Amino acid sequence: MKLLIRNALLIHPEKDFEEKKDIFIENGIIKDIGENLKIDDLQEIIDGEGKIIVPSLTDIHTHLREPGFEWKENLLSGSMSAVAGGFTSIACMPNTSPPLDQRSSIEYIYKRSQEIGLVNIYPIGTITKEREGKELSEMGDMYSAGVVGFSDDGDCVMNSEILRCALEYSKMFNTPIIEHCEDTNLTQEGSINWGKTATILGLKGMPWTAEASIVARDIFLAQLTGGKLHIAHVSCWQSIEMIKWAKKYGIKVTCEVTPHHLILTEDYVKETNYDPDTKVNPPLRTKEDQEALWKALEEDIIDAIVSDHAPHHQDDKLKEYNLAEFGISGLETIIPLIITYGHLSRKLNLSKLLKKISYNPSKILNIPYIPLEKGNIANLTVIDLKKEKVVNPLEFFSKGKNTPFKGWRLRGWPVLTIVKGKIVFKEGKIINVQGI
Amino acid sequence: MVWKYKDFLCIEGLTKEEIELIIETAISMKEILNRTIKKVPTLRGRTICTLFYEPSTRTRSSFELAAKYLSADTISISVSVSSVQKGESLLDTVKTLEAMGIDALIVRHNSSGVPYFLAKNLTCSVINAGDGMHEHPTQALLDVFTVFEKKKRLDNLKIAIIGDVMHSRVARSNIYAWKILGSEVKICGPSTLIPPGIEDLGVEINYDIDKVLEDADIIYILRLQLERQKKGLFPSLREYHFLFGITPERLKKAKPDVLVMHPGPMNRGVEISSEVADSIYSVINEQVRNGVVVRMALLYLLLGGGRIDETSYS
Repeated sequence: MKLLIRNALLIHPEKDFEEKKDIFIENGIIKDIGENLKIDDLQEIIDGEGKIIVPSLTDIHTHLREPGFEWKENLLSGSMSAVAGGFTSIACMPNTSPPLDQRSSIEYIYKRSQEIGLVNIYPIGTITKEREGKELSEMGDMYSAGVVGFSDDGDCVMNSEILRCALEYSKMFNTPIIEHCEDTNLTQEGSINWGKTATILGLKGMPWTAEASIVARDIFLAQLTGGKLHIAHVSCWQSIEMIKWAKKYGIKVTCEVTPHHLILTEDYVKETNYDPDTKVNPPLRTKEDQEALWKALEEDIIDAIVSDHAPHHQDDKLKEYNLAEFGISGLETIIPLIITYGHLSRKLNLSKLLKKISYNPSKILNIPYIPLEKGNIANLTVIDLKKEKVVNPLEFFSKGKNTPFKGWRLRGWPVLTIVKGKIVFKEGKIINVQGI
Repeated sequence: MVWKYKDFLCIEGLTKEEIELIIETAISMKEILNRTIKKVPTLRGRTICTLFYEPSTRTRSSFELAAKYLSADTISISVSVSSVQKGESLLDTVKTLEAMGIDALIVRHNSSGVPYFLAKNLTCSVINAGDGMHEHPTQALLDVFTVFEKKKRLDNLKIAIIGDVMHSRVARSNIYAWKILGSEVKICGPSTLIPPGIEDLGVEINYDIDKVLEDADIIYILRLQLERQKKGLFPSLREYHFLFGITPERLKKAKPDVLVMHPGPMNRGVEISSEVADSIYSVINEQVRNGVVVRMALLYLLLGGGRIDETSYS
């Protein structure tokens, strides 16, 4: 394979630096980066005008549903969805059935993802056995099998002593505890943010307090233990203030945000007349929260952007709002969403924005990050900033068609994904898939 | 003016003129209801189905009688003896009914938003007979009509809504209706049962019941669902009655021409004393009678408006 991309904007998130250059890839290796490169016997030249190249796009919060919920998603459809979304690496959450709470499950994820051979999948193991929040799972054994983090995501570890033990114990592996912060006593039967919109729609609300109070508790537990804490999907300004405080005091805490919390508010539930695709946990919040999230992103209080890809079957969504499942299928829209709303609307710098979905998340979970450098294996994505397309869930590779962004016109779509030297996604098609 | 919507889902968003159209139509329906022979042929050949996922006496029978007085055919599906018990989904259930040729589906459901969900997925008319904690629009219409009969006006009135506003679809629909019509709404109840952000709908919150009763033209008492106490929202029924129950003593401080209303069913001795419920101030039974009237008006506007002639060709 000999591929030359001319005049593309190369993004170097790890160096906060962008440059317009040619890049030449031969047999999966970046052979040269420079200006006006002259190469013989080229098989393909891509005009890079209006396109950017980003290394190692990484989404550290996805739900791939296998084993146990294969009608919603499996490792194959999830892998296809990931590379179509532009990702070279993803981490998957352990709330499967059975949950990923022991070595054999972790080994299965690695084995199956290597058979498929599209995207690098890094499993996250549970904090507690069966995700019951009662006893620590065999973290050490799972760590030696390759888990990159621990989480009971979907549920909060409500017992503070168990979470304290988890933060203390995981220090031995320098692996973060990823917390879904939600005091479930405050959110029971809730399906939307607590407040005016919930009142108008007559839906039981979930107050921000349910999240922020646990964020505060977890930060103190991280301070007490010195353990590494990563806070999943922050959604309210009060959580941001707590995290800001923690970072100021040098507590080992990182956090992430989803595009839907950045772009949508609770008002959208009303605008769409109870579209169940707007139902997500934590719920879509207010304009004030949204502004705080963007600001925190700019000020690096928020370290990472994640999709929280939560595919569901239509039978789990096409029903009464309060009975519909929580979650948004997000892998295939996250890049155009953050480019359209972060870069084009809010004028955020591309390398800063994309650092939060490449370099930063890979550091949080300590997973490989391969920069765009001569001699490195090509592990990169070409994004066409000029490409404009309407979101059509029926075109998703994911089995989950549940997105509140259906029908939205977005710009900046991935057009080429190369994972460890292999082209896996090109112009709307999955290439080189195995293990079907 | 003619009615221009396929469905009737909520009061929110209606115009003053639209509410007035329903009220005017209801006036002529009341005349029909007062006849000895109540049946008119307006909706002959039309089929109306009631689908109730919650228990109901007055709303359901009121809709069915309204339809029958207009000569529509009616069927009613009780969830407890339907295929819902076999696990059939809501959407499959209503698609099944629609396939049999119904013209309007009247739905009550404990999940807020269900009528919207059905309206999006069905071509027949959908009428909201109460959805979760969201709205109960025909209740608000019958309340407005009842007040109109007594007060001969709908604007510049002072409405006091007392009780569990948080869980009440009746309260929400009434708040919208009275605000649209240009009247003033105060709400009063335990602070744990006042929903967040309700003041954004233009209502005043006041926890002092005696102050609220003083200048009210209408005292609208909400039903207290007794299971709320178990969830810790208030300490006891005794204390609720002590703080917010409408008693003859409290009523003495109200205006002499005050109207006492309740959507039913009542918990006598809790939110309302029997002496008040059965007093000369009470229009609770008129509300029930007018329920049939406004529902006749609504069915006529949705299904028969301007098409009365059709019956002569059939």
